[in-house]
Amino acid sequence: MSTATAAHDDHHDHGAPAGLMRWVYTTNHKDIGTLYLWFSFVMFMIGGSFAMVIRAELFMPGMQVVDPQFFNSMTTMHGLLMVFGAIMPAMVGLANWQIPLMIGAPDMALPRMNNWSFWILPFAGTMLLSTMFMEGGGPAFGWTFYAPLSTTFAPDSTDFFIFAIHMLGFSSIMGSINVIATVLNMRAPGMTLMKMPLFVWTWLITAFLLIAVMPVLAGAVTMMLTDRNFGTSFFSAAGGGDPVMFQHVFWFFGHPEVYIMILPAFGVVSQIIPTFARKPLFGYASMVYATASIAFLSFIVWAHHMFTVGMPVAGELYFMYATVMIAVPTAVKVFNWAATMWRGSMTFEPPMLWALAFVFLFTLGGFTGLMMGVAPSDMQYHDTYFIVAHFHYVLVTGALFGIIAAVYYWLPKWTGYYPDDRLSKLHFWWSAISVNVLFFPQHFLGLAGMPRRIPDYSLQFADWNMVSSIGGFAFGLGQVFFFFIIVKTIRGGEKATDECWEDAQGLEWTIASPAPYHTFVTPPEIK
Amino acid sequence: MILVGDVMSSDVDPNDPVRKAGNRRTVVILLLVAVGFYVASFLFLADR
Amino acid sequence: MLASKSWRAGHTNAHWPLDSQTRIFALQLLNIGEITPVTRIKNLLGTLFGAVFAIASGDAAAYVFNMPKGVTDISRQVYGLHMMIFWISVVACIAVFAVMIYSIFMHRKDKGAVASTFHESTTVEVIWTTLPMLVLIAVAVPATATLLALEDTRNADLNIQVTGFQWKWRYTYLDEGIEFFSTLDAEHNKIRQVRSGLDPASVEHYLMEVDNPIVVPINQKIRFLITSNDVIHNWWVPALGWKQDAVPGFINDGWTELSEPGTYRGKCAELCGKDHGFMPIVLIAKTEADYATWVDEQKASAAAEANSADRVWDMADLMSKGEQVYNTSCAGCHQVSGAGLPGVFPAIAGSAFAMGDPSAHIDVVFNGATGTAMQAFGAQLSDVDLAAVITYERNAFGNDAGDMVQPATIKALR
Repeated sequence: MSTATAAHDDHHDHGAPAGLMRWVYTTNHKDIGTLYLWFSFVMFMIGGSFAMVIRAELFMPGMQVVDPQFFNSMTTMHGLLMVFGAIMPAMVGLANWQIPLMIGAPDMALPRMNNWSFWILPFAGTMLLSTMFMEGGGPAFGWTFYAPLSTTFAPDSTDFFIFAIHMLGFSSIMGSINVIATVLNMRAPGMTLMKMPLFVWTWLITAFLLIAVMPVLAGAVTMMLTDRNFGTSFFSAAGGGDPVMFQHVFWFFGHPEVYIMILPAFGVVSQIIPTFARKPLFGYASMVYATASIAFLSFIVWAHHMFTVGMPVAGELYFMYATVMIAVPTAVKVFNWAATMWRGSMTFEPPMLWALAFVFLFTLGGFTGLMMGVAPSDMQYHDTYFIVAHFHYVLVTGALFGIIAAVYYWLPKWTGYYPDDRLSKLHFWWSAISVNVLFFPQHFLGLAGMPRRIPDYSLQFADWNMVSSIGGFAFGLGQVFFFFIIVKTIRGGEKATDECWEDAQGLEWTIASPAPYHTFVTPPEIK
Repeated sequence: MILVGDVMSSDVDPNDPVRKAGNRRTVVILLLVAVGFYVASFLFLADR
Repeated sequence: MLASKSWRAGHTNAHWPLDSQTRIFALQLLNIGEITPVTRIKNLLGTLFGAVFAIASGDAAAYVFNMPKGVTDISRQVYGLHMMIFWISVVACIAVFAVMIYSIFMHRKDKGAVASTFHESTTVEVIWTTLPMLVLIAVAVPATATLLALEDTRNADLNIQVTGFQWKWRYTYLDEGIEFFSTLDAEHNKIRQVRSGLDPASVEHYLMEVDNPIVVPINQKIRFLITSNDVIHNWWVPALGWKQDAVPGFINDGWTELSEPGTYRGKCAELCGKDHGFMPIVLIAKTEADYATWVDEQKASAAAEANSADRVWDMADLMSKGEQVYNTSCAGCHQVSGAGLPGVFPAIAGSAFAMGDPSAHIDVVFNGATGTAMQAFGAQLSDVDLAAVITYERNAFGNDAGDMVQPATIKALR
C-alpha cells in the first residue's frame, strides 16, 4: 500500500485512467463513491419497482395482480433492497466522496479495502435478487425475517438470502472501519475533532454503530443457517430454543440500523441549512452531543419493536421509558435547525428545498415514533399501516430526502455543472407532494385497523389505499425523472464555480469544480 | 498510542508512515470489536 | 426438562413482578381509568377534526381517519392516551413549524434579510432540552397506569386458549371443554382467489367473516391464553384495545371484559406466511343466558360428530365431506387443484405418495412431517374429517388409488 501511495505522490497531477478497468481496479475515493452512488440508484429503482407491484395489488380490494406468496416476496425484497441496497450504500457513497474532501485528506485511509467493500455489493445484490428465480420463490417472510417463518417454514432459497446478508454485512463493516480510520488518522493538520463538519461527525458515529451491530445481524443469520441445515435449535421451541430470542437479536441490530440510515442524513441537513441560511449552524457542540446520545440510546431501546411479544411488564415499562427519551436529543436537533434558519438570509436552491422538506416531514415521522413509543398505544399501532407510514416518513422523507438533498448539494462539485434549476424544482415539488399523498393516508389506514403485509383488505380500507397507490405511482415516476436530471447534469449545463454556493463554508468548496482526481495531496492548513 | 494521539490532536501529516501504522492499528482494533459483537450475539442466547 | 424450560416465559406470574400491595398503591397514585374533562374536550376536538376532514372530502362514510375507541375500559384508556400524545405532538409541531415557516417567509435573502451570526445560547438550549423531558414524564405517568392494567390478567372468570395455525385460529374453552377451528368464510375465500373475477363488495365484511366465530359472555373477565402451532401469529381485535403475539412453544396472555353484546372483528397482525391476510377473527359477545345456550349447542354437536365416527361411510359421502375439509384445511397450501406450489408446498395431484401405501399417507396427515410446514392434523381434525380428507386426496384431482379410509381406522390410531 505504501508503494502505491508513494507512486501517486510522485506524479499527483495525473487524471483518471480510462476504460472499464478503471472502475474495477480503482482505489480512488471519488471513483468508489461514484460506484456506490450508482449501485444504490440501481437498487433504488429495482426496490422501487417492487413497491409499484405492492401498490398495484393494493390499488383495489380483491386479488388482481399477483398471488399472496409473491406479494410477500415483494414486500420482503422491497424492504431488503431499500435498506441494504439503496439507503446504506448511498450513504457510504456520500461518505467516500465527501469525508476526505471535508477533512482535507488525500483519500480514504484504506483504499484497497475500499475497493473490496464496494465490489462485494453487486455480487451480494445479485445473489439476493437471484432468489426470486429459484424454485419456491424468494424470501417471503418480511425484511425482519422472524423465525420460525424464516427457518422451518421458508423456501430453500433462504440459504442464498443468508449468504447475501453475510456479504452485505461484511461490506458494511469494512466500509465503516475505513471511515473510522480515515476520520481518526487522516485529518489535515489543525482539523480537530470539534472543528469537523457535522456530516463527518454523524458518519463517524454511524460507523461505530455499524461495527457494533452488523456482526450481531451476521450472528442472527448464522444461527438461522445452522437451525435450517445443521439441526440446531436456537429459535425452535421444540428443541429448547426461543423464537422470541431471534427478535431480540434482530432488533439489537435493527434499532441502531434505523439510526445508521438517518444519522448521515442529519449530517447532510446540518451542512445544507447553514449554507443557504448564510449563518453558522446553531449549537454545533450540542448537535454532536445529541447525535452521540441518539447513538447510545439506540442500543438500549430495541425491544420497543416487540411490545406485543409477551415480555414481562417490567421490561415493557423499561423499554417504553428508554424509547421516549430518544425524543429529547432528536428534538434538540430539530430546534437547532430551526434556530439556524432564524434570522438567517435564506435562499431556496434545490438542496435547501429538499433539506427543508426533510426537517418538516422527518419531524412528522418523529412524532408518530413518539406515539408508538408509548407501549399501551403501541398495542394498537403495532404491525399496522400506522407503522408503515411512520417508518416511510423517517426513511423516505428522512433518509432518502437527505440523500437527494446531498446529491443536489454536491453534484456541482462532482460534475462541475449545476443541475438544471427548473427541472430540479419540478422534481422537488412533484416528489414532496406525491410522497405525502402516498404515505399520509397510511396513518389513517393503520389507525382504522389495517394490518401491514397483507395483499388484500376489507372494503373500509379501499379509498385510502387507492389514494396511496396513486401517490405511489406518482412518486415512483418522479424518481425516474431524477435519473434524467442527474444524467443531464453530468453531460453539461451551467458551469459551477469552485465555491458552488454563495459563501459556502468547508474545505470541499476550496478545491476546483469538478473536483480533480486527486485532492489535498498536500494537506491544507486549517485556521 | 498513535490511535489515541490522533484523537487528541490532529497535527499528523497524512502521508507520514507513522499514520499508516495508525491505520493498521485502527483496523485491527475495530475488527476485534466486530468479531466480539458477533460472538456476543451467540452468548446472548447462552443462558436460555 | 427442555419442555418445561421452553414454557417458562409463558407462566403468568412471570408477567407480574410487583406484589399486589405495590400495585394497588401504584394504581391509586396514578388515578387510573379516569377520563378527565380535559381528555373529554380533546376527544371532542379529535372527532370534530375528523368529521370536518371527512365532510370536506365529500364522502363522510367511506373515509376512516382515527383509531376506534373500542368497547372496553382498556381500549378507551388506550384511545385516551393515543389522543393525548397526538395533541401534544400537534402542539409541538405547530410551535416548531411556526418558527420555521416564519423564518422561511421573513428571513429570506430576496427580502433583504441580513444573516445574524449568533450560533449558540446555553440558556435556550437548556430550556429546550428540559421542556421535552418534562412533557415526556407527563406522558409516562398515565401510560404506565394503562400498561399495568392492560397486563393484569389475574382473577379471570373464563379461560380461552387461542392457538394460531397457518392460516386459521383454534379456540379451546378450557373451562367448558369446547374446541373448534375458525377459518375465513368459504364465500370470502372464493372471492379472494387471484383474479377470481368476483366482487368483494358482494359480501358483507369482506375478509372479516369466519365459519365459527369465538363466542364470549359479557360481564365476565375473560383471559385469553395465546399460543401458536407453527409460526408467530398475532391475535388482534381492535375493539378490545390490544393485540398479542402467538408464539410457538410459549403462552402469552391478555384479557378483556365486555359490557355490551355485539360482534367485533379483527385480523392476524403478524406476518405468518402466504395467507397471513386471510385469517380473520370474529368475536361475538353474548349475554350470560345466550352464552350458556351456545355452550350447550356446541357440546351437543360435538357429541353427534363423535357418534358419526362409528358408522361405516361410503365413497360418495367420504368424497363430498373430504372436499369440504380439504378446501378449508389443505387448499391453503396444496391449492384447490391439488397442484401445490413448486418448491414450497408439494403437489397432491398425481403424487405417487398420495396414491401409494395408505398407512404412510395417514401417518403424514395425522402426525405431520417434521421440519416442514406440514402440520399434524391428528390434533386438529375429527376422525370423520381425517378419513374423508385422506380418501379425497387419494381419489380426487385425477388420483386413482380407488381405496377408502374409514373413520374407525383413524379412531384406532388415537
